[in-house]
Amino acid sequence: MIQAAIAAGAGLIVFYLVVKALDLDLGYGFLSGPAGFNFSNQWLTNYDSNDSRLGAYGVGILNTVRLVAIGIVMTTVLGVLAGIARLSDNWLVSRVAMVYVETIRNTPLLIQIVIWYTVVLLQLPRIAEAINVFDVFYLSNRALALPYVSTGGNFGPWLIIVVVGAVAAIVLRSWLRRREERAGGTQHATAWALALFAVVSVVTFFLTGTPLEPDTPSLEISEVGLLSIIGGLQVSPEFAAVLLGLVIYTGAFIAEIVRSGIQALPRGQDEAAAALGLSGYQRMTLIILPQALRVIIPPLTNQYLNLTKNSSLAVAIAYPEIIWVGKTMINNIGHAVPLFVLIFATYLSLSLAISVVMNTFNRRVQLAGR
Amino acid sequence: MTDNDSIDARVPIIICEDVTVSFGDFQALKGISARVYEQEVVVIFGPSGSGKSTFIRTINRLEEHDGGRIVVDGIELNDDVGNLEQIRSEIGMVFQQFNLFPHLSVMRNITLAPQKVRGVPKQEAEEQAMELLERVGIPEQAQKFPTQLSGGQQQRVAIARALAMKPKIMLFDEPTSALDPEMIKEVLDVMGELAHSGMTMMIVTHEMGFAREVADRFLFFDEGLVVEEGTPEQIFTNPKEDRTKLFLSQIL
Amino acid sequence: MTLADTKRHSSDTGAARGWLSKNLFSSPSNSVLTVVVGSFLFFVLYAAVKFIFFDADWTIISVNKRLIFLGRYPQGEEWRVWPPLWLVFGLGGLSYGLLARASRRDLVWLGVILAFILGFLAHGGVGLLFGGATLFAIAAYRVGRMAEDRPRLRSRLRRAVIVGWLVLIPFTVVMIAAFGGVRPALWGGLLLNVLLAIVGIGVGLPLGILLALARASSLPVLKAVSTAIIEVTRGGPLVAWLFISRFVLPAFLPDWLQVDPIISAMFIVSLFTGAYVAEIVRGGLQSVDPGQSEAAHALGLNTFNVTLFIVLPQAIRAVIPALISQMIALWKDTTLFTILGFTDALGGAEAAFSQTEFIGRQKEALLFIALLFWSGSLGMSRLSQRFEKVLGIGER
Repeated sequence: MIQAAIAAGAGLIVFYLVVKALDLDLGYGFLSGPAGFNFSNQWLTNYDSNDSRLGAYGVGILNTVRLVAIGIVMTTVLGVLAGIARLSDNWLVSRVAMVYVETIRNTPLLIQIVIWYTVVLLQLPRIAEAINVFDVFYLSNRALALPYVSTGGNFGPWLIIVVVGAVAAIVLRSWLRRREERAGGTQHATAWALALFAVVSVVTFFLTGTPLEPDTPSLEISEVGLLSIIGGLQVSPEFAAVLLGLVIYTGAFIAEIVRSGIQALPRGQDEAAAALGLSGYQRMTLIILPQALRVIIPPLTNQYLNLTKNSSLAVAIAYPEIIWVGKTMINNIGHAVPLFVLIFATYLSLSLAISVVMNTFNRRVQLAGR
Repeated sequence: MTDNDSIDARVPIIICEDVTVSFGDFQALKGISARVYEQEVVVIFGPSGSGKSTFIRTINRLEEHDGGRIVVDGIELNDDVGNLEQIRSEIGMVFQQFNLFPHLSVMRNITLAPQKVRGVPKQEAEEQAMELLERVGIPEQAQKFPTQLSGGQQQRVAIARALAMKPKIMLFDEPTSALDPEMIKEVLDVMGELAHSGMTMMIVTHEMGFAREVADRFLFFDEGLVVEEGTPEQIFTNPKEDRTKLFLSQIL
Repeated sequence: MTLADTKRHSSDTGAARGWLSKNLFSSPSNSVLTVVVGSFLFFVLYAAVKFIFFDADWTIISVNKRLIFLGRYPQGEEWRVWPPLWLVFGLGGLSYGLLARASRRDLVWLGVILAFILGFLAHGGVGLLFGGATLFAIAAYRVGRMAEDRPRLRSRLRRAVIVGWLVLIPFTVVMIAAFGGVRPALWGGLLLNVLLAIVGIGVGLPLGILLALARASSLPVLKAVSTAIIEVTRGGPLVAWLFISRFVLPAFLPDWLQVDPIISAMFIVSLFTGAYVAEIVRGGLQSVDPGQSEAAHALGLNTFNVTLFIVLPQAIRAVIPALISQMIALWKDTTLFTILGFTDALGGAEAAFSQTEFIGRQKEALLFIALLFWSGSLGMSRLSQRFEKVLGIGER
């Protein structure tokens, strides 16, 4: 009875929505038309305002993915360090970490992004007076230029050799590990493997004739007399502001997750390990972290998903990620409903991808020893 | 001092002089001086909160002393981390709550420290672990995980884990207090066997019957001080201090 | 063998030195860390003090305080804000008093925050009204404490507090909007953030509980519908939902339901909060021992009563910390309305530093509102910790 009423109610609402939606154009045909706008930020692409809207949306996806991927790596490093620092014996270090966490996570992310953007990055000097650090970093309000590498002639072959070298190093390491277990003592497996890898890549680097060349930015004057920064890895202030905001904000939450994950372990675990004579580093890596990871990974996954969704705040300072692209198209030509379906599908796919990776990782951690 | 001449002639392996430990405003140990000689079994008893657990934990620096000196096997316990790790690898410790590592198998619990700290080859470590598991009577449990064992079995694994480091001294911090009554005996039997084999042991326990059998010497703790010290004979038949008499009358 | 007496002298300098060597210089690597972090800290503190007391020009705040706190809210209608504010202060004080004794730390924090706000508002009537509200809150707290050993008064006050919180939203809306009041389009500044947060949690909380119960129900249709609502809502970021409220919602609503953009945005925020609350409450429902509802059924209670009186109270009690975290998240998320072009506190600050006389004063404006939001969040999280301790709830 109740079921039928609910079903009828839901049916009516859906019917109403469908009737209303039929008035709108729900097709995706408009995506093949030229977008008519261009991007301040592009990555791997060479988009032009005459290219299709679908292409424009693709650039938006790349901009979101780039933000999320780099952001997740950086925020994990920051968060884990800050979480361990919170538990440091050093009073000053643990206090500084606490102030970081309590200040950052209690302040709205949007305000932080706006502060990074308008107070820090846009206040950098104009290109002509760009801050020059050792001739390799140029900081200006138009772009942050960092040293980078560009590929030279034999890059392909060299890359293959490096990969082979890496595989050989991994094999060597596991062989030394096994020998270590058989014969006892320490064989410095990791050190030998790293050495092998370094020798292989450096020697072949010169044999193939420098396949990678340093690409340092420089300040140059074009024919029309305009100053610009050439070369290097150029980061726009919009990207830098959103990335800094996301990394620092999410890092504060991850720090708390790591701290409480470690603190949730009974004190006896660390004491028993210490009583056996294990060093601080061994206790952390062999006893504490493997157990804490089981508690840490599920909420950590949640933070990655939050970071992905929070990357949409970039629209506030016009960094062209998917929401900005969608909004711009809607302002130009409408088609809001299909565009939002597309946007939601994109976020859903990103979340799903992150969840799948993290769940696989989680299953491995949980299985290791029950 | 109550020490008699024959004991003084032997070599002390643990020397404590006027050791104090404080937690904030509370002074848990108010100046403990004691010696433990090689192959000696010393039982520490006293009311709860008397500082006996704190004292035994101070010997391998799970608690830091803020006054006095502790010398173990000729090495002084201080802020030097190198000293500390050396001392800890020579002292085995068994806890009230077992503290086995739940993410590692019984075998791995026992072989981890010998491999990582002493650099023993894996095969040798595992053979030794099997010997120890046989000695404590549970060789068939080697591949299980700690949560699959009973409390008594877990505590016997914990003893095997400590012995795997070939320690010179074993510390027992109320090893049977968290056990169901029917499991206490299996753990005490293992400890008794260990005592007869000549291991130097310090034991905090309330099992006075067992203690009387294995102990060479008793220390009675109350309010952070050693109130009385003596052989089982002295303590049980002729305690000098009123507090000792009172406490023994309450627990026996 | 005798050892030299190394008993440490325990004078004050000795104690201080001991503390330093134990907490800051216990090993060489630790000392290096201390020096590095210490110099970094010194640099930051120096820059902060230099900025706050010497370089900053805070006139941007004092000139634009109306813009930041009220946005484009019309002159002469400010009186409508005070009764709800007094009600909030009174209810807050009374609730705190009934639940717990104030800790000294909480009092210090509250004092600092109030002094900070008063410092910018304390001019004539506004200062008096605000100070009065503070005194009112303190008085209400005293009343709550007095009721501690008077069970009858206590239960009566409890009921009054619950009714008070329930009445708060309609009362606020009526005070501000009804009887020739202020149109939603003119709500702005921090007032708008507070209204959004209150409406968001006030509507989102019951909505979320209903969704959670529906998702936990045994009726497949109900379960499917609520699961769909929860998952779709959580599938995208709030920013996307806000744009939907702007671009999509109007096309789907019948003419008689076309409302002010702020109201439809409020609706979306409530739905969004509701979906997150639903997942939190669902976790709480799962944490309640099944024996509880079995026992209640065995007593002859029907399913409705079992849920309402036995399961739900225990479930919600278990997730109070998570719900407060959600409230804090909502409070911070209210700034996203700037993206839609509303003049909330952040929008007001941005408007302030685009005025020609204040160009280059972004720092002052943004740091000021960051501080406003920060103190609000910190206050809530401190209260949450306090209640957790008093009510004996652990973090889930």
